[in-house]
Amino acid sequence: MELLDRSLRDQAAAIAAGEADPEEVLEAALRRIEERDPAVNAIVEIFPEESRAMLAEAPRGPLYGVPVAIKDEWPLPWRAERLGAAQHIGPAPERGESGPYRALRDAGAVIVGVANMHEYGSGSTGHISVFGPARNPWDNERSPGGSSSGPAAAVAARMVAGAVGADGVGSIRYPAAYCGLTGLKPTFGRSVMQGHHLPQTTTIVSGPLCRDAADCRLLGGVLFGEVLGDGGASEMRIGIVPGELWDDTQPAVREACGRAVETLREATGSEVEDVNVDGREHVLIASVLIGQTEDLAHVTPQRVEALGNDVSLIARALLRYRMLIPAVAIAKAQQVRTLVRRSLAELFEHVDVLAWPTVAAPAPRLDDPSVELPSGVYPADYVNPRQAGIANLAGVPAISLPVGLSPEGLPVALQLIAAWGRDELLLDAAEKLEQATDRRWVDAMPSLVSA
Amino acid sequence: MGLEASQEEIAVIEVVDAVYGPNLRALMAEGFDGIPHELGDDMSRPPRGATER
Repeated sequence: MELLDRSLRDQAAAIAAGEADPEEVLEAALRRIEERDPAVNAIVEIFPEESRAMLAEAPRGPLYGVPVAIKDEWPLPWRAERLGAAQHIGPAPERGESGPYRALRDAGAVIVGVANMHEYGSGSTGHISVFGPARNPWDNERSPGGSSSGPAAAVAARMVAGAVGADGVGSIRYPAAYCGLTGLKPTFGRSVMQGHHLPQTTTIVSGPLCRDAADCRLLGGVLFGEVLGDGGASEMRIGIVPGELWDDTQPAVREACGRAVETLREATGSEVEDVNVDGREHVLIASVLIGQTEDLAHVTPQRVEALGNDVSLIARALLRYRMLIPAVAIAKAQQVRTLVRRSLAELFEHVDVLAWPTVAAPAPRLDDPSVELPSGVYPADYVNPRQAGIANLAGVPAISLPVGLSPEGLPVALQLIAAWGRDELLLDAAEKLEQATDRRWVDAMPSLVSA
Repeated sequence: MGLEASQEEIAVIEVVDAVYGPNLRALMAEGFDGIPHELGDDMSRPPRGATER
Protein backbone atom coordinates (compact mmCIF):
# COMPACT_ATOMS: atom_id res chain seq x y z
CA MET A 1 0.00 0.00 0.00
CA GLU A 2 1.36 3.41 -0.93
CA LEU A 3 1.75 5.93 1.87
CA LEU A 4 -0.92 8.17 0.30
CA ASP A 5 -3.43 5.35 0.68
CA ARG A 6 -2.79 5.15 4.40
CA SER A 7 -4.48 7.22 7.08
CA LEU A 8 -3.51 10.76 7.96
CA ARG A 9 -2.05 9.56 11.27
CA ASP A 10 -0.10 6.76 9.58
CA GLN A 11 1.37 9.23 7.11
CA ALA A 12 2.35 11.56 9.96
CA ALA A 13 3.84 8.69 11.97
CA ALA A 14 5.81 7.30 9.01
CA ILE A 15 7.32 10.69 8.24
CA ALA A 16 8.06 11.42 11.92
CA ALA A 17 9.79 8.04 12.26
CA GLY A 18 11.94 8.69 9.23
CA GLU A 19 10.32 5.84 7.32
CA ALA A 20 9.08 8.18 4.61
CA ASP A 21 10.71 11.21 3.01
CA PRO A 22 8.29 14.16 3.18
CA GLU A 23 9.65 15.61 -0.07
CA GLU A 24 8.86 12.35 -1.85
CA VAL A 25 5.42 12.25 -0.23
CA LEU A 26 4.67 15.76 -1.47
CA GLU A 27 5.76 14.96 -5.02
CA ALA A 28 3.71 11.76 -4.94
CA ALA A 29 0.65 13.70 -3.77
CA LEU A 30 1.07 16.21 -6.60
CA ARG A 31 1.40 13.37 -9.11
CA ARG A 32 -1.68 11.68 -7.70
CA ILE A 33 -3.72 14.88 -7.99
CA GLU A 34 -2.62 15.19 -11.61
CA GLU A 35 -3.59 11.58 -12.22
CA ARG A 36 -6.92 11.36 -10.37
CA ASP A 37 -8.36 14.85 -10.24
CA PRO A 38 -9.63 14.99 -13.84
CA ALA A 39 -12.23 12.35 -12.88
CA VAL A 40 -13.56 14.22 -9.83
CA ASN A 41 -12.57 17.91 -10.16
CA ALA A 42 -11.91 18.13 -6.45
CA ILE A 43 -8.76 20.26 -6.51
CA VAL A 44 -9.16 23.57 -8.31
CA GLU A 45 -5.62 24.84 -7.88
CA ILE A 46 -2.24 23.46 -7.00
CA PHE A 47 0.83 25.58 -6.25
CA PRO A 48 3.86 23.27 -6.10
CA GLU A 49 6.34 26.02 -5.32
CA GLU A 50 4.36 27.28 -2.34
CA SER A 51 3.78 23.72 -1.15
CA ARG A 52 7.49 22.98 -1.36
CA ALA A 53 8.23 26.21 0.51
CA MET A 54 5.72 25.21 3.22
CA LEU A 55 7.49 21.89 3.61
CA ALA A 56 10.93 23.49 3.69
CA GLU A 57 9.85 25.70 6.58
CA ALA A 58 7.56 23.21 8.31
CA PRO A 59 7.99 22.72 12.05
CA ARG A 60 8.05 19.18 13.46
CA GLY A 61 4.42 19.37 14.48
CA PRO A 62 1.76 16.63 14.60
CA LEU A 63 1.22 16.79 10.82
CA TYR A 64 4.82 17.38 9.78
CA GLY A 65 5.18 16.79 6.06
CA VAL A 66 1.65 15.48 5.55
CA PRO A 67 -0.20 16.69 2.42
CA VAL A 68 -3.65 18.17 3.02
CA ALA A 69 -6.20 20.20 1.05
CA ILE A 70 -8.21 23.24 2.08
CA LYS A 71 -11.60 24.41 0.85
CA ASP A 72 -11.79 27.46 -1.41
CA GLU A 73 -13.23 29.40 1.51
CA TRP A 74 -10.13 30.80 3.21
CA PRO A 75 -7.34 33.03 2.05
CA LEU A 76 -3.82 31.72 1.80
CA PRO A 77 -0.75 33.97 1.74
CA TRP A 78 -0.46 33.38 -2.00
CA ARG A 79 -4.11 33.11 -2.97
CA ALA A 80 -7.41 34.82 -2.10
CA GLU A 81 -10.45 32.61 -1.73
CA ARG A 82 -12.99 32.49 -4.57
CA LEU A 83 -15.87 30.64 -2.88
CA GLY A 84 -16.39 28.61 -6.03
CA ALA A 85 -17.75 31.74 -7.68
CA ALA A 86 -16.80 33.92 -10.63
CA GLN A 87 -17.45 37.20 -8.84
CA HIS A 88 -17.56 38.38 -5.26
CA ILE A 89 -20.42 40.35 -3.83
CA GLY A 90 -18.95 43.06 -1.68
CA PRO A 91 -15.34 43.79 -0.82
CA ALA A 92 -12.84 41.85 -2.89
CA PRO A 93 -11.11 39.11 -0.92
CA GLU A 94 -7.42 39.41 -0.25
CA ARG A 95 -4.58 36.98 0.20
CA GLY A 96 -3.61 36.40 3.79
CA GLU A 97 -2.96 34.05 6.66
CA SER A 98 -6.33 32.62 7.63
CA GLY A 99 -6.80 30.72 10.87
CA PRO A 100 -6.92 27.31 9.19
CA TYR A 101 -3.81 28.13 7.15
CA ARG A 102 -1.88 29.11 10.29
CA ALA A 103 -3.09 26.04 12.17
CA LEU A 104 -2.00 23.73 9.36
CA ARG A 105 1.32 25.52 8.89
CA ASP A 106 2.09 25.47 12.61
CA ALA A 107 1.29 21.75 12.72
CA GLY A 108 3.82 21.16 9.95
CA ALA A 109 1.22 20.19 7.33
CA VAL A 110 1.72 20.91 3.64
CA ILE A 111 -1.22 22.40 1.74
CA VAL A 112 -1.08 20.76 -1.69
CA GLY A 113 -4.23 22.19 -3.18
CA VAL A 114 -7.32 24.31 -2.84
CA ALA A 115 -10.49 22.26 -3.01
CA ASN A 116 -13.65 22.97 -4.97
CA MET A 117 -16.89 24.10 -3.33
CA HIS A 118 -20.50 24.84 -4.19
CA GLU A 119 -20.81 28.38 -5.52
CA TYR A 120 -20.86 30.87 -2.59
CA GLY A 121 -21.32 27.89 -0.27
CA SER A 122 -25.04 28.02 -0.88
CA GLY A 123 -25.79 24.44 -1.86
CA SER A 124 -25.45 20.92 -0.50
CA THR A 125 -24.61 19.18 -3.77
CA GLY A 126 -21.49 20.79 -5.25
CA HIS A 127 -22.94 20.63 -8.74
CA ILE A 128 -22.55 24.38 -9.27
CA SER A 129 -19.12 26.00 -9.16
CA VAL A 130 -17.18 28.36 -11.37
CA PHE A 131 -14.63 25.55 -11.59
CA GLY A 132 -17.26 23.07 -12.75
CA PRO A 133 -18.96 20.47 -10.58
CA ALA A 134 -16.94 18.32 -8.22
CA ARG A 135 -17.72 14.63 -8.73
CA ASN A 136 -18.22 11.75 -6.33
CA PRO A 137 -15.43 9.12 -6.44
CA TRP A 138 -18.04 6.43 -5.74
CA ASP A 139 -19.82 7.32 -8.98
CA ASN A 140 -18.62 10.36 -10.83
CA GLU A 141 -22.06 11.04 -12.25
CA ARG A 142 -23.18 11.65 -8.66
CA SER A 143 -22.90 14.62 -6.33
CA PRO A 144 -20.06 14.59 -3.81
CA GLY A 145 -22.17 16.78 -1.53
CA GLY A 146 -21.58 20.39 -0.64
CA SER A 147 -20.71 22.93 -0.02
CA SER A 148 -17.38 21.25 0.93
CA SER A 149 -17.55 19.22 -2.28
CA GLY A 150 -13.86 19.30 -3.18
CA PRO A 151 -12.46 18.45 0.25
CA ALA A 152 -14.66 15.34 0.38
CA ALA A 153 -13.97 14.22 -3.18
CA ALA A 154 -10.21 14.72 -2.68
CA VAL A 155 -10.13 12.61 0.49
CA ALA A 156 -12.41 9.90 -0.89
CA ALA A 157 -10.25 9.67 -4.03
CA ARG A 158 -7.18 9.25 -1.78
CA MET A 159 -5.46 12.35 -3.15
CA VAL A 160 -5.04 13.52 0.45
CA ALA A 161 -5.98 11.82 3.72
CA GLY A 162 -7.39 14.95 5.29
CA ALA A 163 -8.98 18.19 4.19
CA VAL A 164 -10.36 21.26 5.88
CA GLY A 165 -13.97 22.08 5.11
CA ALA A 166 -16.54 24.44 6.56
CA ASP A 167 -20.02 23.77 7.87
CA GLY A 168 -22.72 26.47 8.05
CA VAL A 169 -25.82 24.38 7.30
CA GLY A 170 -24.34 20.88 7.13
CA SER A 171 -21.62 21.64 4.59
CA ILE A 172 -19.09 19.20 6.07
CA ARG A 173 -21.57 16.48 6.95
CA TYR A 174 -23.39 16.17 3.59
CA PRO A 175 -20.16 15.64 1.61
CA ALA A 176 -18.86 13.27 4.27
CA ALA A 177 -22.10 11.28 3.98
CA TYR A 178 -22.20 11.21 0.19
CA CYS A 179 -18.52 10.27 -0.13
CA GLY A 180 -18.32 7.65 2.66
CA LEU A 181 -16.10 9.76 4.92
CA THR A 182 -16.12 10.90 8.51
CA GLY A 183 -16.75 14.61 8.96
CA LEU A 184 -16.83 16.59 12.17
CA LYS A 185 -18.81 19.80 12.57
CA PRO A 186 -17.22 21.19 15.74
CA THR A 187 -18.94 23.08 18.52
CA PHE A 188 -19.39 26.66 17.34
CA GLY A 189 -16.30 28.74 18.05
CA ARG A 190 -14.05 25.83 18.96
CA SER A 191 -12.18 25.61 15.64
CA VAL A 192 -10.20 28.38 13.97
CA MET A 193 -12.11 30.78 11.74
CA GLN A 194 -9.91 33.87 11.50
CA GLY A 195 -9.83 35.35 8.03
CA HIS A 196 -13.20 33.92 6.99
CA HIS A 197 -15.19 36.20 4.71
CA LEU A 198 -18.08 36.16 7.22
CA PRO A 199 -16.42 37.10 10.51
CA GLN A 200 -19.83 37.80 11.99
CA THR A 201 -21.13 34.28 11.37
CA THR A 202 -23.07 32.55 14.12
CA THR A 203 -23.35 29.25 12.25
CA ILE A 204 -20.18 28.43 10.29
CA VAL A 205 -17.26 26.45 11.67
CA SER A 206 -14.13 24.98 10.13
CA GLY A 207 -13.76 21.25 10.50
CA PRO A 208 -12.02 18.11 9.28
CA LEU A 209 -13.05 15.66 6.55
CA CYS A 210 -11.10 12.41 6.80
CA ARG A 211 -11.61 8.71 6.29
CA ASP A 212 -12.16 7.85 9.94
CA ALA A 213 -12.67 9.33 13.38
CA ALA A 214 -9.04 8.99 14.54
CA ASP A 215 -7.91 11.11 11.60
CA CYS A 216 -10.67 13.64 12.36
CA ARG A 217 -9.38 13.70 15.93
CA LEU A 218 -5.88 14.52 14.67
CA LEU A 219 -6.84 17.14 12.09
CA GLY A 220 -9.63 18.48 14.31
CA GLY A 221 -7.15 18.90 17.14
CA VAL A 222 -4.96 20.99 14.85
CA LEU A 223 -7.93 23.21 13.99
CA PHE A 224 -8.97 23.41 17.65
CA GLY A 225 -5.43 24.14 18.80
CA GLU A 226 -5.59 21.40 21.41
CA VAL A 227 -5.17 17.66 21.67
CA LEU A 228 -8.59 16.00 21.56
CA GLY A 229 -8.53 13.35 24.24
CA ASP A 230 -10.83 10.66 25.50
CA GLY A 231 -14.52 11.53 25.34
CA GLY A 232 -15.77 8.59 27.38
CA ALA A 233 -18.22 6.96 24.96
CA SER A 234 -19.43 4.15 27.15
CA GLU A 235 -22.74 3.45 28.87
CA MET A 236 -24.24 6.32 26.92
CA ARG A 237 -27.83 7.36 26.66
CA ILE A 238 -28.62 7.55 22.95
CA GLY A 239 -31.61 9.65 21.99
CA ILE A 240 -33.71 8.81 18.95
CA VAL A 241 -36.16 11.41 17.65
CA PRO A 242 -39.07 9.50 16.10
CA GLY A 243 -40.72 10.97 13.03
CA GLU A 244 -39.57 12.31 9.70
CA LEU A 245 -35.85 12.41 10.56
CA TRP A 246 -36.02 8.60 10.39
CA ASP A 247 -39.28 7.79 8.65
CA ASP A 248 -38.93 10.11 5.66
CA THR A 249 -35.66 8.56 4.52
CA GLN A 250 -34.96 5.91 1.92
CA PRO A 251 -35.37 2.37 3.30
CA ALA A 252 -31.69 1.49 2.85
CA VAL A 253 -30.70 4.60 4.79
CA ARG A 254 -33.18 3.93 7.57
CA GLU A 255 -32.16 0.28 7.89
CA ALA A 256 -28.38 0.88 7.85
CA CYS A 257 -28.63 3.71 10.36
CA GLY A 258 -30.95 1.67 12.59
CA ARG A 259 -28.47 -1.21 12.57
CA ALA A 260 -25.64 1.18 13.35
CA VAL A 261 -27.43 2.61 16.38
CA GLU A 262 -28.11 -0.89 17.65
CA THR A 263 -24.45 -1.85 17.10
CA LEU A 264 -23.30 1.28 18.92
CA ARG A 265 -25.66 0.51 21.79
CA GLU A 266 -24.30 -3.01 22.13
CA ALA A 267 -20.67 -1.99 21.72
CA THR A 268 -20.83 0.72 24.36
CA GLY A 269 -23.29 -0.79 26.82
CA SER A 270 -25.61 2.11 26.13
CA GLU A 271 -29.36 2.61 26.29
CA VAL A 272 -31.56 3.94 23.53
CA GLU A 273 -34.62 6.03 24.22
CA ASP A 274 -37.10 8.10 22.24
CA VAL A 275 -36.84 11.84 22.77
CA ASN A 276 -38.23 14.99 21.17
CA VAL A 277 -36.68 18.33 20.21
CA ASP A 278 -39.03 21.30 20.48
CA GLY A 279 -39.26 23.41 17.34
CA ARG A 280 -37.79 20.76 15.05
CA GLU A 281 -40.65 21.18 12.55
CA HIS A 282 -39.16 24.62 11.77
CA VAL A 283 -35.48 23.63 11.80
CA LEU A 284 -35.31 23.29 8.01
CA ILE A 285 -36.54 26.78 7.19
CA ALA A 286 -34.93 28.45 10.22
CA SER A 287 -31.47 27.06 9.49
CA VAL A 288 -31.75 28.08 5.83
CA LEU A 289 -33.02 31.56 6.69
CA ILE A 290 -30.28 32.23 9.21
CA GLY A 291 -27.51 30.48 7.32
CA GLN A 292 -28.33 32.11 4.00
CA THR A 293 -28.81 35.66 5.24
CA GLU A 294 -25.70 36.13 7.38
CA ASP A 295 -23.84 37.54 4.39
CA LEU A 296 -26.50 39.96 3.16
CA ALA A 297 -25.06 43.11 4.73
CA HIS A 298 -22.76 43.52 1.73
CA VAL A 299 -25.52 42.93 -0.80
CA THR A 300 -27.01 45.90 -2.64
CA PRO A 301 -29.38 45.96 -5.62
CA GLN A 302 -26.59 47.48 -7.69
CA ARG A 303 -24.13 44.74 -6.78
CA VAL A 304 -26.65 42.00 -7.52
CA GLU A 305 -27.60 43.52 -10.85
CA ALA A 306 -23.92 43.85 -11.74
CA LEU A 307 -23.38 40.09 -11.52
CA GLY A 308 -22.74 38.67 -14.94
CA ASN A 309 -23.72 35.44 -16.57
CA ASP A 310 -20.58 33.79 -15.25
CA VAL A 311 -22.42 33.67 -11.92
CA SER A 312 -25.03 30.92 -12.05
CA LEU A 313 -28.65 31.76 -12.79
CA ILE A 314 -29.70 30.13 -9.53
CA ALA A 315 -27.28 32.26 -7.50
CA ARG A 316 -28.48 35.43 -9.17
CA ALA A 317 -32.10 34.47 -8.57
CA LEU A 318 -31.50 33.34 -4.97
CA LEU A 319 -29.77 36.61 -4.10
CA ARG A 320 -32.84 38.48 -5.30
CA TYR A 321 -35.14 36.13 -3.41
CA ARG A 322 -33.15 36.60 -0.21
CA MET A 323 -33.47 40.36 -0.48
CA LEU A 324 -37.23 39.94 -0.46
CA ILE A 325 -37.42 37.76 2.67
CA PRO A 326 -39.44 39.66 5.26
CA ALA A 327 -37.61 40.72 8.40
CA VAL A 328 -40.30 39.06 10.50
CA ALA A 329 -39.27 35.69 9.06
CA ILE A 330 -35.70 36.19 10.26
CA ALA A 331 -36.99 37.24 13.70
CA LYS A 332 -39.09 34.09 13.86
CA ALA A 333 -36.16 31.95 12.73
CA GLN A 334 -34.21 33.38 15.67
CA GLN A 335 -37.05 32.33 17.97
CA VAL A 336 -36.83 28.81 16.57
CA ARG A 337 -33.14 28.94 17.36
CA THR A 338 -33.87 29.93 20.96
CA LEU A 339 -36.47 27.20 21.28
CA VAL A 340 -34.18 24.53 19.83
CA ARG A 341 -31.21 25.58 21.97
CA ARG A 342 -33.26 25.44 25.15
CA SER A 343 -34.76 22.12 24.21
CA LEU A 344 -31.36 20.61 23.40
CA ALA A 345 -29.87 21.95 26.64
CA GLU A 346 -32.61 20.19 28.58
CA LEU A 347 -32.25 17.00 26.52
CA PHE A 348 -28.51 16.84 27.00
CA GLU A 349 -29.04 16.82 30.76
CA HIS A 350 -30.10 13.20 30.44
CA VAL A 351 -29.04 12.10 26.94
CA ASP A 352 -25.43 11.89 25.72
CA VAL A 353 -25.93 11.76 21.97
CA LEU A 354 -28.77 12.10 19.49
CA ALA A 355 -28.72 9.89 16.40
CA TRP A 356 -30.39 10.01 13.01
CA PRO A 357 -29.38 9.68 9.34
CA THR A 358 -27.08 12.48 8.12
CA VAL A 359 -28.93 12.65 4.82
CA ALA A 360 -32.24 11.09 3.85
CA ALA A 361 -30.91 9.51 0.66
CA PRO A 362 -27.53 8.67 -0.86
CA ALA A 363 -25.79 11.01 -3.30
CA PRO A 364 -28.13 12.28 -6.04
CA ARG A 365 -27.16 12.55 -9.67
CA LEU A 366 -25.29 15.68 -10.69
CA ASP A 367 -27.65 16.24 -13.61
CA ASP A 368 -30.71 15.89 -11.36
CA PRO A 369 -29.80 16.64 -7.73
CA SER A 370 -33.12 15.53 -6.31
CA VAL A 371 -33.97 12.66 -3.98
CA GLU A 372 -36.95 10.36 -3.81
CA LEU A 373 -38.28 9.96 -0.27
CA PRO A 374 -41.41 8.29 1.12
CA SER A 375 -43.14 11.72 1.23
CA GLY A 376 -42.21 12.68 -2.35
CA VAL A 377 -39.42 13.83 -4.64
CA TYR A 378 -37.50 16.92 -3.53
CA PRO A 379 -34.36 18.85 -4.35
CA ALA A 380 -31.61 17.48 -2.10
CA ASP A 381 -30.88 21.07 -1.09
CA TYR A 382 -34.39 21.31 0.32
CA VAL A 383 -34.42 18.21 2.54
CA ASN A 384 -30.79 18.14 3.67
CA PRO A 385 -31.07 21.03 6.17
CA ARG A 386 -33.93 19.18 7.87
CA GLN A 387 -31.40 16.52 8.89
CA ALA A 388 -28.31 18.66 9.58
CA GLY A 389 -29.38 22.27 10.22
CA ILE A 390 -30.12 21.83 13.90
CA ALA A 391 -26.44 21.58 14.88
CA ASN A 392 -25.69 24.92 13.19
CA LEU A 393 -28.76 26.59 14.66
CA ALA A 394 -27.82 25.44 18.15
CA GLY A 395 -24.02 25.57 17.94
CA VAL A 396 -23.62 21.96 19.08
CA PRO A 397 -21.10 19.51 17.58
CA ALA A 398 -22.13 16.79 15.14
CA ILE A 399 -20.35 14.02 13.30
CA SER A 400 -21.25 12.07 10.18
CA LEU A 401 -19.82 8.60 9.73
CA PRO A 402 -20.34 5.91 7.10
CA VAL A 403 -22.50 3.00 8.21
CA GLY A 404 -23.38 1.12 5.04
CA LEU A 405 -23.89 1.06 1.31
CA SER A 406 -27.13 1.50 -0.58
CA PRO A 407 -28.29 -1.05 -3.17
CA GLU A 408 -26.63 1.17 -5.82
CA GLY A 409 -23.34 0.89 -3.91
CA LEU A 410 -23.39 4.44 -2.55
CA PRO A 411 -22.38 5.35 1.02
CA VAL A 412 -25.02 5.73 3.75
CA ALA A 413 -24.25 7.78 6.86
CA LEU A 414 -25.32 8.18 10.45
CA GLN A 415 -25.16 11.49 12.27
CA LEU A 416 -24.44 11.81 15.98
CA ILE A 417 -25.02 15.07 17.82
CA ALA A 418 -23.79 15.93 21.33
CA ALA A 419 -23.87 18.82 23.76
CA TRP A 420 -21.71 21.92 23.41
CA GLY A 421 -18.03 21.09 23.90
CA ARG A 422 -18.48 17.32 23.72
CA ASP A 423 -16.81 16.92 20.32
CA GLU A 424 -14.51 14.29 21.82
CA LEU A 425 -17.49 12.15 22.81
CA LEU A 426 -18.61 12.09 19.17
CA LEU A 427 -15.15 11.04 18.01
CA ASP A 428 -15.07 8.29 20.62
CA ALA A 429 -18.52 7.05 19.70
CA ALA A 430 -17.58 6.99 16.02
CA GLU A 431 -14.42 5.01 16.82
CA LYS A 432 -16.41 2.51 18.89
CA LEU A 433 -18.78 2.00 15.99
CA GLU A 434 -15.87 1.57 13.56
CA GLN A 435 -14.36 -1.08 15.83
CA ALA A 436 -17.67 -2.86 16.31
CA THR A 437 -18.12 -3.11 12.53
CA ASP A 438 -14.49 -4.20 11.91
CA ARG A 439 -13.92 -0.88 10.09
CA ARG A 440 -15.96 -2.25 7.22
CA TRP A 441 -17.49 1.07 6.20
CA VAL A 442 -14.60 3.47 6.88
CA ASP A 443 -12.26 1.21 4.91
CA ALA A 444 -14.68 0.69 2.01
CA MET A 445 -13.10 1.82 -1.21
CA PRO A 446 -14.79 3.96 -3.88
CA SER A 447 -14.82 2.58 -7.40
CA LEU A 448 -12.44 5.27 -8.62
CA VAL A 449 -9.81 4.11 -6.13
CA SER A 450 -10.38 0.37 -6.33
CA ALA A 451 -10.19 0.56 -10.12
CA MET B 1 -36.34 48.24 -3.75
CA GLY B 2 -35.62 48.92 -7.37
CA LEU B 3 -34.12 45.51 -7.93
CA GLU B 4 -34.67 44.23 -11.42
CA ALA B 5 -34.87 40.60 -12.41
CA SER B 6 -34.93 38.84 -15.76
CA GLN B 7 -37.75 36.48 -16.74
CA GLU B 8 -35.36 33.56 -16.19
CA GLU B 9 -34.51 34.79 -12.70
CA ILE B 10 -38.16 35.32 -11.86
CA ALA B 11 -38.92 31.77 -13.02
CA VAL B 12 -36.23 30.42 -10.67
CA ILE B 13 -37.55 32.55 -7.81
CA GLU B 14 -41.03 31.12 -8.39
CA VAL B 15 -39.68 27.57 -8.24
CA VAL B 16 -37.72 28.33 -5.06
CA ASP B 17 -40.79 29.92 -3.50
CA ALA B 18 -42.92 26.93 -4.42
CA VAL B 19 -40.43 24.63 -2.66
CA TYR B 20 -39.70 26.68 0.47
CA GLY B 21 -42.92 28.72 0.59
CA PRO B 22 -44.97 26.25 2.67
CA ASN B 23 -42.24 26.08 5.33
CA LEU B 24 -41.89 29.86 5.31
CA ARG B 25 -45.63 30.39 5.66
CA ALA B 26 -45.83 27.83 8.48
CA LEU B 27 -43.07 29.70 10.27
CA MET B 28 -44.81 33.04 9.71
CA ALA B 29 -47.99 31.64 11.24
CA GLU B 30 -46.27 30.97 14.56
CA GLY B 31 -46.72 33.50 17.34
CA PHE B 32 -43.95 32.01 19.47
CA ASP B 33 -45.59 33.40 22.60
CA GLY B 34 -44.00 32.39 25.84
CA ILE B 35 -40.51 31.74 24.54
CA PRO B 36 -38.14 33.88 26.57
CA HIS B 37 -35.48 35.69 24.61
CA GLU B 38 -31.98 34.35 25.01
CA LEU B 39 -29.91 37.07 26.57
CA GLY B 40 -26.28 37.43 25.58
CA ASP B 41 -26.58 34.42 23.32
CA ASP B 42 -23.35 32.57 22.74
CA MET B 43 -23.55 29.71 20.26
CA SER B 44 -20.49 28.04 21.75
CA ARG B 45 -22.33 27.29 24.98
CA PRO B 46 -25.76 26.16 26.13
CA PRO B 47 -28.25 28.95 26.72
CA ARG B 48 -28.46 30.57 30.08
CA GLY B 49 -31.54 29.78 32.15
CA ALA B 50 -34.78 31.48 31.22
CA THR B 51 -34.91 33.40 34.49
CA GLU B 52 -31.26 34.38 34.51
CA ARG B 53 -30.55 38.05 33.82
